[in-house]
Amino acid sequence: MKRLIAVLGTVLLLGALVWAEAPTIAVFISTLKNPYFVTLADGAKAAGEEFGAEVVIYDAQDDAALQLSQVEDAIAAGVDAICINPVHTEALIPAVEKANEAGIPVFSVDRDVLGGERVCYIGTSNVLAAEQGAATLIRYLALAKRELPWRIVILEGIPGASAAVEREEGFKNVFKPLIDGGAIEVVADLTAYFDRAKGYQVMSDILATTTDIDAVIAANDEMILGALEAIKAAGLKVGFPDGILLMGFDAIDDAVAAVKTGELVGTVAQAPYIQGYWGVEAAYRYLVEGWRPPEGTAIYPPTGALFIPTPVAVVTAENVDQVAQITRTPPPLPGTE
Amino acid sequence: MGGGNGGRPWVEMRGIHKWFGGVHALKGVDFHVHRGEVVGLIGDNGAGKSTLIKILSGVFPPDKGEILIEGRRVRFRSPKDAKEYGIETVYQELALVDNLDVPANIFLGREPALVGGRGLFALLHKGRMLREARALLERLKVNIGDLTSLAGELSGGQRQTVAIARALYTEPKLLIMDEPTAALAVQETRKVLDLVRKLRERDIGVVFISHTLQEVFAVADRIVILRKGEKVGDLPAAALTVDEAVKLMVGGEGA
Amino acid sequence: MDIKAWLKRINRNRVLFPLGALALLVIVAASLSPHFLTPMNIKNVLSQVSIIAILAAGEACVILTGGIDLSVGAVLAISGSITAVLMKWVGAAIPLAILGGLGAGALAGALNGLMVAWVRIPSFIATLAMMAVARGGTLVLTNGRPVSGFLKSFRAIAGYAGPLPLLFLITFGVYVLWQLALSHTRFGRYVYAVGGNETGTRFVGVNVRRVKLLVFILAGLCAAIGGIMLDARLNAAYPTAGEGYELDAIAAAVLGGVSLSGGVGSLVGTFFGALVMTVLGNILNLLKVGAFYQYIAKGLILAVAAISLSRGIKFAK
Ligand SMILES: Nc1ncnc2c1ncn2[C@@H]1O[C@H](COP(=O)(O)OP(=O)(O)OP(=O)(O)O)[C@@H](O)[C@H]1O
Ligand SMILES: [Mg+2]
Repeated sequence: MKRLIAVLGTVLLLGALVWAEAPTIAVFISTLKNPYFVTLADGAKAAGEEFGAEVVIYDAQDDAALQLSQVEDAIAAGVDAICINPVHTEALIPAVEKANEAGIPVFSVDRDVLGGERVCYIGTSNVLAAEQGAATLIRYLALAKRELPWRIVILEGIPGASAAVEREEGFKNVFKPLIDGGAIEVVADLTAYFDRAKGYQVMSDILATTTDIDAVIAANDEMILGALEAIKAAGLKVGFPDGILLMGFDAIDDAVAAVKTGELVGTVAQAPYIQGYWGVEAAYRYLVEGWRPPEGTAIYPPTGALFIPTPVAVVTAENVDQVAQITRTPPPLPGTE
Repeated sequence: MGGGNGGRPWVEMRGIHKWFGGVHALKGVDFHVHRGEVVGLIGDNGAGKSTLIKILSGVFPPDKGEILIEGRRVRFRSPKDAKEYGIETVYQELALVDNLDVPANIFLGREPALVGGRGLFALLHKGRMLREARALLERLKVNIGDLTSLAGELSGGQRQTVAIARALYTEPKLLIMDEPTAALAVQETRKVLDLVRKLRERDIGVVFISHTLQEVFAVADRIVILRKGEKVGDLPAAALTVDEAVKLMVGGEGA
Repeated sequence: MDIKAWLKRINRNRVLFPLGALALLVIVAASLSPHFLTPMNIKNVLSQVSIIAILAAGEACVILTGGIDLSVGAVLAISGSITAVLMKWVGAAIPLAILGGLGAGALAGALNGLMVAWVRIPSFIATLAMMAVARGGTLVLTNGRPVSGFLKSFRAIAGYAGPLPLLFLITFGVYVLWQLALSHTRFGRYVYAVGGNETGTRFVGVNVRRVKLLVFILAGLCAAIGGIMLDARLNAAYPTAGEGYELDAIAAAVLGGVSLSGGVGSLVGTFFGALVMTVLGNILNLLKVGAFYQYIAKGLILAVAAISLSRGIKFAK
């Protein structure tokens, strides 16, 4: 019993420490098991320190019901604003509605909620990011002075998953005119389910039919790294300028390392840190300075929210050493300059 | 000697075989009990005593052989079937449920209901169970103390008495007792033996298993001896001495 | 009867400890946060406890018979998905959709029961298999996508009846019925008997298989009720719903005094156990304790609770 009291006493102390007059911004993270979202939370905390807001991070462990409970509790505790990275686009609508009823402003971060009132959605457009990745690949193919038509392989993510659908759309936006003009020939366009082992398997199947391939682009790094191993196992050359050019997506550590060694020409880096930072910054400025999304802010078509896109960087040999810095340096929030 | 030995036995087992995997536990055993007769069943460890009485009480079926009650062939698919014919058993492995109280143990499997009859969701008549349990134990002249104690809180002797009381609740025709005195002190053992004698007076047949041959000789009318799954002796208790019984049990000379 | 004996009798199924822990937690929570005892927060806690508590009700009964059910989280998901699919894609009427979900839960439970009682697979393995099958079935059924946007009349399940959340009333009703069944019916008696001495119970002629089968069916039904309640609360069914809930349900039962070796414990205690877990999460959230410290605080408090629980039981004996 004594120990129980001691523990609760510690909890009381922690509670007292964070009790302050600054606005309280609750940040709901889908899961802190994924390093991507840990970085997002880091950005949110950094903005809290920068602006003097009290930031509380909640970890829903990928459980929508738990996240709803956390939002309810935060509302009951009287937080001033909510940044939510929802576990789920639909299952958290009731949470946003409850915040709306309590008059607490909601900002969705990285992933939008499909209902309720959000001040804005701060995230990456997968479509725009995929376009940048595809465009970078084209630039490298041109620099390598490859013979036309360029023969490329596209590895898609889990069919139907929103990230897969949007990234595919971004690739197609760039490739379609070139395909139509005869500059690109698609050797294969197959799904490898965002999975490294499947990426290896699908790529080796393709190589069994032809080895005349100029480039491979994948909707995530796991698949491109699997494909890389398959190509190496087939004894083919990879890398700029005269090997097969490989482009990934997500900038996970393994992929960035492969960019450094030249095995990948690039990988698309989103900026979760900036998403978290901007989420808290927007909430703080909304409460204290009356910030609103600027006139002419675009709508995010899939969800209809006002869309504040965070910057995307394509990691290549040219910038690989500055990448950490680029993705962790928040530019000014739109509407503040 | 008890009454009724002349006529047809109340229950008869003929040519019983039982295998457990490769173990041939019973090799064609014949066995019978009259009403009001106490049969002592003895044999070395693993001789097949428990197996034989488990077949008689419906725990498992014989692999070969048949059981007759009052001359009619019967088949037990479960202990419940045997109970319906009036065969009750006090098992060697104490069969009480430690986390239930005394009345709950006595009435386990046949709880009286307030409403709902014999259904699984019938409401228990707890008052009646407590009353009848108390009356039953008084009739058997045993003292358990607080009847709402859990079985796990009782002494070995008290537990055994409860197990016997449970078997007697329905006025069975045959009571099987597998080493009922194994865990008991001298005083408690005497009580159990007295109880067995009283049963004989009430015309109940008893199968009494024990490793303490003096006990068996003290209560049994007839003694059946098993060795390695075979019946090696079936004699009136008066016609046998303890020494002779031991010889039969372990083999040695003459069988 | 002296006081110690009386307390011992009351505590036979270990309800005193979880009740004490809950009372202590409530007092501490109320003194730490002015938000804790507000009507809004009480409503929140009652809604939040409902789903985990209903899973724990089924789980506790399985554990009382000496088994374990690892499939309740996955059965929650498949039942919730079936109800959602019936409503949204098939266009079935709400009562029919709910019946479909409940039927699926009961069926999954029945399969668990058959595997355990007839095929004699240990419940740990049998229900682990069911967990995988039900989770996979959910993914196949929904194509891995969420099903959302139900009718207002369905969402009303997550609404209020007067001041009280309907979800809570449903759960509470189930608990009252179950506790009565456990302590006053033949079935309840056999549940404890099977957990205490399965062989002995079979020897007196109780149909042990049927008892086990029923217990698993009821656990499946509880999981299905939980799945349907979750649908209403989130206005969505999603295939990963309920992942890991089986562990929460087991923890609630054990905190509530249910012994993992079977035969000892009660639903009243289990309910307090579920409340302890929910209130703990709630007060840490109200105090705005950050995610990482929450893990530590929860782990420590649960460990302390478990230690005191086992000590308390030794003391009582
Ligand atoms: N359920 C079972 N499964 C496998 N073998 C069994 C089983 N029950 C008994 N046996 C075997 O059958 C044989 C007879 O056992 P049984 O229990 O009938 O002997 P017993 O005469 O009662 O011995 P004891 O005096 O030690 O109780 C033994 O070899 C035993 O190992
Ligand atoms: Mg024996």
